Amino acid sequence: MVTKKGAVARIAATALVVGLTGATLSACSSPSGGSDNSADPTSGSLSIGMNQGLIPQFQTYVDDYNKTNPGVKITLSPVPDNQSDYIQQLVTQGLSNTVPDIVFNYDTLNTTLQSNGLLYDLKPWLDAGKDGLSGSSYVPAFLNQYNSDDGSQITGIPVSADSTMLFYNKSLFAKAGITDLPTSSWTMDDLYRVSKEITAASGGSYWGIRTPMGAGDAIFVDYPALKAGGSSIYNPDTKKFEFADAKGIAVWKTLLAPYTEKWGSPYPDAAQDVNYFSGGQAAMSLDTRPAIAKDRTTLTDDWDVANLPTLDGNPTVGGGSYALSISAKSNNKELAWAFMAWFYSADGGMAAAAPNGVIPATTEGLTNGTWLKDTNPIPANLIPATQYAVTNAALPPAIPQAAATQLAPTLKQAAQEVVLGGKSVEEAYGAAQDTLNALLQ
Amino acid sequence: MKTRTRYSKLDALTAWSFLTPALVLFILFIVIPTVAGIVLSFFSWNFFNEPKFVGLNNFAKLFDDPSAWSSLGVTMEFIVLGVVPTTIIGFMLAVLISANMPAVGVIRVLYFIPVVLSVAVSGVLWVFLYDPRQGPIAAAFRAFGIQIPNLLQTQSTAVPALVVMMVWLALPIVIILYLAALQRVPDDIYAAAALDGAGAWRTLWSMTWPNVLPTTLIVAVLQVINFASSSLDVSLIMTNGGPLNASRSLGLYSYQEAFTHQDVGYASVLSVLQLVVIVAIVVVGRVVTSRSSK
Repeated sequence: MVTKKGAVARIAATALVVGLTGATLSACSSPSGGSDNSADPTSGSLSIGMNQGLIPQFQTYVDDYNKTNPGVKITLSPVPDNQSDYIQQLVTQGLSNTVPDIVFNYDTLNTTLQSNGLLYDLKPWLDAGKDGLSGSSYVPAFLNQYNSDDGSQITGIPVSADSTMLFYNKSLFAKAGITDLPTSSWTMDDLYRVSKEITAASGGSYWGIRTPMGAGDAIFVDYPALKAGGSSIYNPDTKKFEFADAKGIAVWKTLLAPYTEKWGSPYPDAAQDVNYFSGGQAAMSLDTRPAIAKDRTTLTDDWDVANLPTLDGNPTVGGGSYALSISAKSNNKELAWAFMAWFYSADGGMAAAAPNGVIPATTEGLTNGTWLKDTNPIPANLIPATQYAVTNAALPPAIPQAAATQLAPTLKQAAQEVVLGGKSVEEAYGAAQDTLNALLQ
Repeated sequence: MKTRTRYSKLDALTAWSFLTPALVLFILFIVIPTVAGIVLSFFSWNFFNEPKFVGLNNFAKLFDDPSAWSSLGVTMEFIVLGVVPTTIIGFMLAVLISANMPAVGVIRVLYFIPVVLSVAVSGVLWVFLYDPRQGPIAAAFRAFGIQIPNLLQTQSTAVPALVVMMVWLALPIVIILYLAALQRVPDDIYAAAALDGAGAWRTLWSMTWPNVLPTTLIVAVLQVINFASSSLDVSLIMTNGGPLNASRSLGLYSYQEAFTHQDVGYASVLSVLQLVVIVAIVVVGRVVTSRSSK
């Protein structure tokens, strides 16, 4: 029997739970701070979210900054590598009103963060050249990765112009008896021919190449190859995904060949360390410049870098960047901007970052940066290869928010259907294109 | 009578003071998230925007989504393949450990190892064990001239491979539960069985097993919950639901919808479905067990 007292208690308990749920929901969505921005850019507290692997580097930049700005207390908080984990972190930080003033951002994440109002529009300050930091000094291709869909906002400033090059292990070439080393005139056919020869000669103990497309979701590999082959991923003019046309299918077949013909490194598991090149298990690898620091430490063999091969006479170099953004909810936007103006200046943060392989994504940085004076003898061809890479890098266009988070998983699904499921390239990538286009409608 | 009432009140007070900390935690971490999940399933929300009430739209989407039903199938596969072996192996090992056999001390230490390892560490360890080139399992097969496929990347073997790891992870708790149950079995029934000439197997299945049946029910319920929910973190770490979603359980699908596709409303619907499935299995299990015990 339900007593009146019991019923009241139940109603109260239910109200409490619903109230708590509602409070949670509203806390998630309501903006936290006001617009009480610090006007004094020489003192105060500043928080920066930073990729956990980059924190040691950034701590040295912060220490340098504090030499001339001792009144600014800067806290670095780690950001996970995985995008899903990072979004979880941003959500919980939003709930507890602790989103860092300066937000770690990267090209493939910007649309998501920007379209959800998490990032402050930096365009007015960049247009005005506030504190000497001007948008016009940046290479448009890199800065445009942080544009909004309509180009009316810029919500991030790229830190480093990262681009891809061909890493090769001379010792493994010699072990396999191959004298045909990569040159600047190599085509994809040359790359694949030599890769097959090395895999065949290795007797199964190492591979000719670490398969460039990885799990199938490496847009910085796929896009330049598609572009070189006369296709694309997303066409901003038609506002459609167009990677499964005849030319696109031909490129996907080329990219998938090391898997489907089984002479490249095998399709990776979720938790597998596939850095076979730094482990001396692959003779060649397509990688970005930041990988050099690790290879210099771990690879005892003789190795070098070269230009990526061409496809149909066109470069296949890809690229990308990570960026610093200012949180839309930050109460310290002026202070955050003051730090960023120092960080991006040639004699400030960029000078401190040069030993870490950072290539400023500015016109001046690319042509006269201190990276051109790298005296480390390994890899010997680093500077010419980097110059070729940064000037030929094809950066993918911004993907509309409706499909931005689905692009990589959908391409990965298509690759798995071909490699592990035995579907045809036409069927798998045609379905992937249809799925993505349906999201845009 | 008055004294008795005072004692009852004191007992109740004591009971509540012991219960309260656990109850508060239970409400905070179980009840409120569960209710919040149910409420969120009626909203469209991407974490960042204003949640928008959409009624039953997310539930309607569930019925048109084949991926949800295939993920439910994967969850059932985890449960079916995992619960029975965990229960039987756990019982057998507990019997062995409780017996006075040689080196039992070493075994008692060894069986507890999985408990002190995190799921992440265990996942990395088992990925190495399953590695088709360098892993010891593939090496052992190669020694007999047998080439095995990449177990985590073959659609037919991915879930069984994960289940083996999950059984290994789950065994310590199951063994502890059974050890406690075995200590409560009165010695005189074994003496009586011995007098009647019952052998070891006969004693095990006719004396020991019926006496630990209530514990078996608890173990089964816990393991249904374990294999339904732990399949999320294990498959997230070891296969990310692959290959081709062959190991994507409902929990992982819900996680991906929430944190990769940022569709929190639909992710909540999937969580509600998982809750319903677990409750249904547990209720059916209880009914069957209570009828058979009568």
